[in-house]
Amino acid sequence: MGSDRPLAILVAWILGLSLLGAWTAYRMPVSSDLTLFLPQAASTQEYVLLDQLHEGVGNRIHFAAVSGADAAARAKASRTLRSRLEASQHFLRVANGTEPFQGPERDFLLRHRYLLSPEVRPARFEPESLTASLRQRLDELRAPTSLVTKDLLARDPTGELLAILKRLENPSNPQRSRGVWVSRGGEQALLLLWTRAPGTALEAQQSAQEALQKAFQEVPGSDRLRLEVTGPGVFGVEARDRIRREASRLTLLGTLGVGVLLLFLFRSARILLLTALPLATGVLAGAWAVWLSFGAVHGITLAFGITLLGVALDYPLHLLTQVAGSTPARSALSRVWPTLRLGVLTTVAAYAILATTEFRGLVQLGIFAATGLATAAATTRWALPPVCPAEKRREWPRLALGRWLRPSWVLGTVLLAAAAASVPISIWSMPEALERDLRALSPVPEAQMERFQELREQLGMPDYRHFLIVTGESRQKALEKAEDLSGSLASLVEEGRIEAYRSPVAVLPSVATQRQRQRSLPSRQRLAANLEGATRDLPFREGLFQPFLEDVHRARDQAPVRLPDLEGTFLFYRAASLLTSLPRGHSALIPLKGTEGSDPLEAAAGVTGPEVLPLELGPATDRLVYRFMGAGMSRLGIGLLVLVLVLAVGLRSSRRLLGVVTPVVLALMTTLGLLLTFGEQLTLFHVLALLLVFGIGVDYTLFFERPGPDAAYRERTLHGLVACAGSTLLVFGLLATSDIPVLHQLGLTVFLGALASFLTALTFARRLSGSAAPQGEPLIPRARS
Amino acid sequence: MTFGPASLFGMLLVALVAGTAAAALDWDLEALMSRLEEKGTYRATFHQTKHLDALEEPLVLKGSLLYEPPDHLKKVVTQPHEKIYEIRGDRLTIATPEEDTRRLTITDHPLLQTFVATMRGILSGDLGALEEDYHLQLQGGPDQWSLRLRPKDSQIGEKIKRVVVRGREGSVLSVKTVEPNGDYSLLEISPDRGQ
Repeated sequence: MGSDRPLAILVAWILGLSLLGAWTAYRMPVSSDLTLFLPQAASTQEYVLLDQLHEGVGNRIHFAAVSGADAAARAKASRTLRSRLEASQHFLRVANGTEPFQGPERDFLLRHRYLLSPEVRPARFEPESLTASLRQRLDELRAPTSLVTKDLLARDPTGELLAILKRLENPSNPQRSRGVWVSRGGEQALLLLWTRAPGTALEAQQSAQEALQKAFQEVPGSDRLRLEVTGPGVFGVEARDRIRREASRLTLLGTLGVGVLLLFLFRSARILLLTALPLATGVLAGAWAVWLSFGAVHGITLAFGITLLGVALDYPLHLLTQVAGSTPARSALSRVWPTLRLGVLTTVAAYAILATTEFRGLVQLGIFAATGLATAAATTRWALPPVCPAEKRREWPRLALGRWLRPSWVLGTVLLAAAAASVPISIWSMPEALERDLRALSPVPEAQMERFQELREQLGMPDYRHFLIVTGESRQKALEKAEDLSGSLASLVEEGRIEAYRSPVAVLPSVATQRQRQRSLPSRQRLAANLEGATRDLPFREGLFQPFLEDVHRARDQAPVRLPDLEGTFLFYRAASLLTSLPRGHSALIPLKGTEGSDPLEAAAGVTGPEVLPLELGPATDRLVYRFMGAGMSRLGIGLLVLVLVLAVGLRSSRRLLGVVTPVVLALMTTLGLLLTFGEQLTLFHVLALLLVFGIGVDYTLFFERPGPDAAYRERTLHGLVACAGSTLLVFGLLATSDIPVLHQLGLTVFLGALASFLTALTFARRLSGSAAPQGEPLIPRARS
Repeated sequence: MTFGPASLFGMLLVALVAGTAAAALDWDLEALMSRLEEKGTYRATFHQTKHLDALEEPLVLKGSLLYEPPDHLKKVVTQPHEKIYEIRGDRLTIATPEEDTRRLTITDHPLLQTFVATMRGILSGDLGALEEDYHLQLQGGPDQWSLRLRPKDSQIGEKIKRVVVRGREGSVLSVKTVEPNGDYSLLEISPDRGQ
C-alpha cells in the first residue's frame, strides 16, 4: 500500500464533500414554515384552530408606534406611512384612525351596498321610511360636521354604506389626536398594519418589515422620530435571527472547544480532521434524504438534525483511539466495529421510530438523524480505515484516566439514589411540568409579548379567545347558518351577556340573503314615485337623487358577492380568515368576546344548535400541544422497546442485555429527575433531547461493558470515551447557557443526560453484565509502562 | 403715504380725524387679535343660513352662542329644532330633547377639530393658532374689518375653500364658510345687549 494513496483518498473525500456541500447549501430549499412542527388536525375544532394559526388574519397583524418630536410631526408620519403603504406590495391595509376604509375597499362596498347592507328591507324604500331617512340627512346637513356626510347624499340617501361600515368597525376604538390614533397619554401615534403574507412566511414578513422601515425613513423629519413595530411576524423574524446568531455563536465556540480538547487528548491534527469527516458526510446525507423525500428541508430540522448527529462524532473517536495507539486500523476495526455497530443500529432504530409520527417536522428529523447516523457509521467502518495513518505510532500524554474514572461504591449509591428519587419527583411534578402553553415553545421574550398585548389593548383590538364554529356542506350553507345565529348573538350583546361577536357575514352575507335583499329593491318607476312622495315637503333640489335611482336599479340584477370577488382587498382576509374548508364541508368561525369574567361560550350555549361547535383557544391549543408531547413521549417509549429488542438480538445474552440497558434507563431517569428538580417545563425539545441522550447512553454503555482485552486497550477505550463525553458536555453545556428557551432546553437536557450516562455506564455496565472484575480490582487497571 | 403737494391735504385730513386715523394706521393682524382677546367672554344670538347646491332653499338655524376663554364654546340651536352643542376642552356633547345626549371627542374628527380650533382662534384672538392652519389676509379698518382664512393643509382644503370673518372692533359679526363646490354657510352674530 503506497503511502500517498490514503492521502489521495482523503483529499478526494474532503474535496468531494466540500463541493457537494457547497452546492447543496446553495441549491437546497430551506423552509421556515413553523406549522410543519404542528400536528395534523384530528377534529373540526383542530382544523379550524390550525387554519387560524396558519392563515388567520391575526397572524398578519402588526402594531406600530411612532414616538418623538411633537404631536403634529407624529400625526404627519402616521398619515404618510398610511398613504405610502396601504394596498402596497407588502401590506394589505394600514389603519391609523383616519377614514376607516378608503380606496378599493370603499369603492367595492359602495358598489355593492344594496347587497351587503343589513338594513336593506322592502319597507326601507317605501315613502314613509324614505322620508325618515331624508329628514335625518337634512338634520345632518344642519350640523356643524355636515361636510362629511354631504358627499354621499345624492347616491346613498338611505345611508347603506355607513350601515355596512358600522358593522365592520372594531367595537372599541383607540384615542385620537389630530385625526390619528394615539397611545393613552398621547405620546405615540399608533398604526395597525396587515401584511399580505401570512405571519408564518418569515421571508415575506422580513421584506414587509424592511419596506415599513424604509417608508418610515423617507418620512420628512423621521430623524427626530422613532418607529416601534411589533407583531407575530416581527417575533418570528427576530426569533429566527436570534436563534441563528446564538446557535452559530455557540456552535463556533463549541467546535473550537472540541477541537482544543481533541488536540489535547490526541496531539494530532489528522485525528481531528478524521473525526469530523464522518459527521460531515452524515449531515450531508441526512439533508439529502429529507430533501429528496420532502422537496425541502425545514430550518429547524437542519439545526436540530445536526445537533442530534453530534453523537456521530463518537464513532470515529472509538476507532481512532485504538488506531492512533498501537493497533493497525484493520485490527482495531475488527474489535471496535461489533460494539459500534450495535450502538449505531439501536440509535438508528430509535430515530426511525421518530419518523413514524404524524408530525411532519418530527418525520423530517427522524429521517435526517437516522440517515445521517447510518451514513456516519458506514463511513467510519468503510471509508475511514483506508485513510488512517496506521504506520505512525503516536504516544499520547499519560493521563492515567483509569485512576480517576472507576466505579466506586459511593458514586454507585449516589446514582442509584438519584434515579430512585426521580420516580417520586416525576409523579409529583410531571403533570405540571408537561408544558401546555404554546408560548413555552416560542422564543419570544416576555417583555416583547407584554408590549404587544399593551399595544393591542390601546388599539382596542379585541383578543378573541372563544369561538363558535358553524359547519355546513358548502360555504354558502355555513354562511346561512352563521346568519341564523347573528340575531340571537346580537340579542346576547344587547342583554349584556356577551360583549361582542364577529361574523364573516358582516363582510360576506350568504348569496341567499343577498338575493333576498335584491328582491326588496323596488323598480325604478316605483322608487321614483316613492321618492317624489317622500321629498314633497322637503327642500331637496329636483333631480338630486338621480344617482340613487340609478344605483338601486343596477343593484337589482347585480351578481351576488362571493368570496373570490373580494380578492385583493382587505375585506377578503376579513372574510376568508373566518372561513375554513374542511375535509368534508366548510365552516364559518364566529369569535366571541365575553363580558368581564364571564364565559361567552356558556352564554352562547343556549342559542346554538347541535351543529355549532364551541372552541376555546387556550384549552384547544393545550390539547394540541399535549397530543404533540404525547406523540413524542410514546415514541420515546417505543424507541426504548426497540432499543432493547435490537440489543437483545445483538448481545444474545440476557445478562449482558441487563448490563447495557440498566445504565441507560438509570441515566434517563436521573436526567428527567434533575430537569424536574430544576423546575424545567417539559417540552417537545426535551423529548427530542432525551432521544439523543438515549443514543449517547447506549454508545457509552456498550464500550464500558466491553472495554477491551488488555489493560492498554482498555486505557485507550477509556481515553476515547472521555473524548466523546468531553466534547458532548462541552458543546451542550454551552448551549445550556443560552437564554433562548429552545437552545437552553436542548443543551441542559443533553448535558445532564450525557453526564449521567457516562457515570452510570462507568459504574454499572460491567458489573451488571457479569464481566465485572473481581472485588477491589479497578475496572480499568492503570497502564504500566 | 406719498410726499408731494397733495400730501398736505392728506395731513390736514389726518389731523381732522386724528383719533380714528391714528388707530387705522396701526391696524394690522396683531392689533385685531389683541382687540379680540380683550373682548373675552361672548354672549350673542346667531342666525345661520346654509346655502347648499343640493337644496332648493337655504337651511336656516337660529339660537344663541356662548364663548368663555379659553375653551368653553356653546351653541344653542332653537330653530328649527332644539339642539345644544357644547364643547369643553376636546369633549363635545350634543343634546336634543328627544334623544340621549351624544358625546364625542373632537380630536377623533380632524375636520371638526379644525372647525373648533378656528372658532376658538377667532373668538380668542389667537394669531398663532390661526396661522398654523391658514393663510390670513386682513382688509378694512377697525370699524369694519374682514379677515380671510385660506387653509394651508390640502386635505382640509378639499372641504373648505375659505372662511371670511367680518367684524367691528373686537366683535365678530359674521363668519362665512365657503366650500370648494360653492356651498356656503353664513353665521351672523349679534352680541347681546350689554356686551
